[in-house]
Amino acid sequence: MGNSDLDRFVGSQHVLTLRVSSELFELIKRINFCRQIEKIRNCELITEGEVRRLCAKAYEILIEESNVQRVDAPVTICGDIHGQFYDLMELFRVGDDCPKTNYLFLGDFVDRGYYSVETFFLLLALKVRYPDRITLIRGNHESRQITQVYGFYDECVRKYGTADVWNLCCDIFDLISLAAIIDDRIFCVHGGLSPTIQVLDQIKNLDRMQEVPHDGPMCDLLWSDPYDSSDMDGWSLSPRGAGFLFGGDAVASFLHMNDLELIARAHQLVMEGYKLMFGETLVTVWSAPNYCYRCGNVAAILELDDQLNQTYKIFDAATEENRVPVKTILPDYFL
Amino acid sequence: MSILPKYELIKEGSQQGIRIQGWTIISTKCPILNSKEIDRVQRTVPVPLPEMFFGNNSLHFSKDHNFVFEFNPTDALKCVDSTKEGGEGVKLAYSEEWKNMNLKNSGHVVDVVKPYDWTYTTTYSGTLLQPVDGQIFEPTSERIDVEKLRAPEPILFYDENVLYEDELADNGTAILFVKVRVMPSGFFALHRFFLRVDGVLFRMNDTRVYHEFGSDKITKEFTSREQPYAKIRSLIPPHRREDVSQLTDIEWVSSKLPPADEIIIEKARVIPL
Repeated sequence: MGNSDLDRFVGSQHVLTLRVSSELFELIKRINFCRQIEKIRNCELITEGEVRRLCAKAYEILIEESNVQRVDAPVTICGDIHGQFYDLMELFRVGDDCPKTNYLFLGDFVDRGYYSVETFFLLLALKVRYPDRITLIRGNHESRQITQVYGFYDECVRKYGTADVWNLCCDIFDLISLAAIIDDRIFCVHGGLSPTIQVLDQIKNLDRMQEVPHDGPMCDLLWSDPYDSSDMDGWSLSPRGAGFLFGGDAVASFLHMNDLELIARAHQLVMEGYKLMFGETLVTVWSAPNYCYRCGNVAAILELDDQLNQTYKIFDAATEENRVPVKTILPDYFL
Repeated sequence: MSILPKYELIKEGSQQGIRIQGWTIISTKCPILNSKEIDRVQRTVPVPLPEMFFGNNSLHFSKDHNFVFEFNPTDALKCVDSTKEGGEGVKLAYSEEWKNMNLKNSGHVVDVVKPYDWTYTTTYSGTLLQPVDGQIFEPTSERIDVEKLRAPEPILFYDENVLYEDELADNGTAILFVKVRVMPSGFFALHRFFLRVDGVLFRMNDTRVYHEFGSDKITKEFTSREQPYAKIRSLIPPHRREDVSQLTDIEWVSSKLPPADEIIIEKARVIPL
């Protein structure tokens, strides 16, 4: 073997070593993520360092996503979770695990339940591990202002000692897509429509990477509600003085303009887990059973097969979820 | 030590309560209404139902058959203002700028179709059922004896029960609940409406009901208190100034609200043992 041959041989060994080590590195990373997912699945808290790495990785993925994520059927649509971690595990039992099933979550992962931290990190870890198998879109609770009032902020401080983890999460909230579109036929959003949006391209042009504003189209998508009444069609102001209600006309016109067949949204509690409106052109999906540990409602997920046929799967609260320290009523000498 | 009166605790399905001194006090707790029940109730009340409407919950008091009184959420909703004025009472912190901006930008949006008091503020103070011989609650000047309620007595039955709750589309909270405690000497209930509209105000409408076993009356007091949000917020201790979660603590807020301008005191006759 001449010198040049030897060089070539050694060189190829190097390449081989390099390739092996980068594959090995990927493998280790994947095993680490799997381990992390397992840890979170057991409702164990991941360390702040792990949170930082998870958020960094999620950042890379989410920042590349469009305001309106394109999703292919089959996919299972899920509504509000609100930190009900054990109920989320029940959801995965009913709908099968990710990545065996593709999932689309319509936002409101956090607040109100006892396990917003674990819930959000599990969804985020799944997103990092299987970016094409799970789609997250933003709910009105994925916001700095709202999480300070409805529990997520407190939970982060309680579980991590400082607000650092909450800050990291809020930065991730700002990156989450605003909507999704399944097979060009089904529009998915947390709240509903906006009177300033007629076509999907108008959503694509929004600057979503910010705290949820108090008004404007981004706010509407996360906050508005459908309203089925003979008194109203089209659009009206909410009696609260901020926020919109949209009627059957607004839905029909949006579907027509964008050549769609259905709007799937969440945002409102439904006792039966889901509710179809406006001649089955809009559905509310609610995935937090026994909401706030006392409403006694069932939850639903919407399975769409590759032909977009709809199957609603209903489920009850997990027994574990209700075994947790639900506020026991202690006699109180109130006055 | 006085001897405990005879009493019997009740626990049947969604109901729990106590039988004592001729009284039966029952607290009923059920899930929120389903869509069918919602449709039925919606026809009888003038405002859209709150998000969490525990329409089958109640706290019920009856004495033999000559006094039947309860707190129930459907009657409470009938006392919510369903007029246009009611709808204009409280607006969200950013509603003016919001309305101007949005109405300007989107000409096809109509103003509120059916205004009502979306804060679900209720002046309800209970329902007297099957009144006998023109039995009513009538004005009195005799207040509930708080000293008697401070006496260190055992609590034989205690419960808390939510009648309705609405998170005002995440702009605060409106909650109506009732608490009851039954002691050897009598019973006491607090029916409370609590409202927090973020950036705007706090409001608390309380009804207190007291009966001393063996007496011939049941006394009821109603108060209404209110304060701007900023005022209450400024009372958060300095070391946790940014922690607005304090404002979700109803007891804490209650302790910071100024006393009511007026206390409406009423009593109704009951036939003693």
